[in-house]
Amino acid sequence: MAKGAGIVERSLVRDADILEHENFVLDGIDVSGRWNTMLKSRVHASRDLQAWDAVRQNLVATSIDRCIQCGMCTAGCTVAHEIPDFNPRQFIYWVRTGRTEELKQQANVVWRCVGCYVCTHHCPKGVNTAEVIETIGQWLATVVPNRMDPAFHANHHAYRRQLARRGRLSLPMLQATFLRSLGRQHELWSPEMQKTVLKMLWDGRAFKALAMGRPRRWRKNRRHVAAQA
Amino acid sequence: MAKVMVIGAGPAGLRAAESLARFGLDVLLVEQAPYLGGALARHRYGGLMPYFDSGPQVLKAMTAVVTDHARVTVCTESQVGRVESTDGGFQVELMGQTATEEHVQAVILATGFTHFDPRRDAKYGYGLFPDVITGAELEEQMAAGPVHRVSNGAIPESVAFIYCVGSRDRQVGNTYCSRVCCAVSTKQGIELRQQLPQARIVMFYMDVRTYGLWEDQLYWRAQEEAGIVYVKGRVAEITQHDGRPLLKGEDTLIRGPFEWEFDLVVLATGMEPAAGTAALAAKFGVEREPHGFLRQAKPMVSAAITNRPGVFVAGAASGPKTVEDSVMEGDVAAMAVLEHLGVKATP
Repeated sequence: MAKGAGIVERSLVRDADILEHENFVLDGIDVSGRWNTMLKSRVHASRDLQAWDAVRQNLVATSIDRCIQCGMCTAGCTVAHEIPDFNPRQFIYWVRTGRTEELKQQANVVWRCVGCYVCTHHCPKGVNTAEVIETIGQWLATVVPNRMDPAFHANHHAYRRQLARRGRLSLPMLQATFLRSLGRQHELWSPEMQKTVLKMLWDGRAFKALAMGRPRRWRKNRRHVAAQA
Repeated sequence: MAKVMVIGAGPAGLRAAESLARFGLDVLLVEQAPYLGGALARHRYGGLMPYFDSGPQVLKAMTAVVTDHARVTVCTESQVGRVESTDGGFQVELMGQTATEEHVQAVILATGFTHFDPRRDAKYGYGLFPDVITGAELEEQMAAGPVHRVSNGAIPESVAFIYCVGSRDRQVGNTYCSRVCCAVSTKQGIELRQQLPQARIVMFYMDVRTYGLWEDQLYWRAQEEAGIVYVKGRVAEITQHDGRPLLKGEDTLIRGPFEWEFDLVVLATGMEPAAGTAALAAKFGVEREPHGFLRQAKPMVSAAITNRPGVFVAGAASGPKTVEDSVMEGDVAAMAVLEHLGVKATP
């Protein structure tokens, strides 16, 4: 039987809001069968403040307390213009009001921040919004790591690995590691990519990228960075 | 020397009486309660926003001069009876503790306000659920000892403040903003944080009207230092669940209904004209404005002028006001009296 087939005016109810149970006992009474269909309540009934406690105690995200929900961050956001669900103001509000369910459901959206820092620069209250969102993303990565899109995951780890190993970032190398770890290395040889490589060889950037060197005292400091990564 | 009657011994009346006495006028300070200080004394305000001055100290300073000054006669537990207009003044009958008849050249009405009684707005369950209290009751709790749940005396782990109770609401007949409740609740939240370091403190608001310098002094501070969370949405109903108040409302910032439980709920009740305002206004022939407060006839000239020459107004009698503003208006009214009586500085 189709989902929620027994519901009168079925067209008014969204699929995601229908809960169907194989065997259902309500207040000690077995209501399996015809009465096993329930609708999910829109009401938010229990505040889960774990994210709030975790985020505001993180050194780079303490400024979350300053937020007055004016919406300047979202208004200026690079990503929000492309992805309507990406709303830094709302992410902060969800954290604060204990709506972690929504946050977890939208984890893949939260992780889409490109780190342009427009939000941080717009914020009239001095919230470091970019890093607050990053911290929320980090928290989500510990709570629902499986929700992370494989491409985000690969990108994330390519960054961390390169930073830990070399102390610096090289975009061509990042791109290569990223695509290789996804099994998409053939994309490195696309006509577009070939054009870019030729250009970079021509203006010398390719050589610079390969010989980018190491930060000062890298050998000594490396282990600290590696420990972080 | 001229004699002036000041009716109401709250911050405005006390200040007016003090100023007039210092200028050398005789003052008759009439107060219906057995104590001086008005709402400040009535609810034992511990800290005063926005500077967190000590309420008792402010009160002491306010009353000290008036009680000691030879020119001020304090008549507590007294009320105004019959009022007759005479040449150059008013013949006023006093009843109660001080039963007498006085002739005065001018009158200052400083009758203040009374808190909105949340029983009139049944959705909050005030009077029904013991853990739903008013902001004034919270002040009394803070003055008397640790803040606790009224139902079982336990220390609350979560506290909700509900703004605009009895204000900005046609349903209860009050269409105005009471001006101070946002800031007072925020102040209480900051004070509460010191007593309850671990508690979850939430403010339910429509707008946060901590105007002027209070923005960062109170609102920002409450969030940044006290970790208080502001939720935009007016609570539609309070019920009780497992012995705790259950708040039902709509979170308007994210368009979602909520039903959250709290240990203690504080209603930020607004201000209404004090009970005797209408009767007193009628006796002195002073007009009231549409919300029931005494009408300031020429607010662009002086805050104290009413439609009746010789009768002046100060403090929350003419609309919701802070302690600071009431004190200031006490002085304004004293000045208006001097001008009315034609008092000149003599070399």
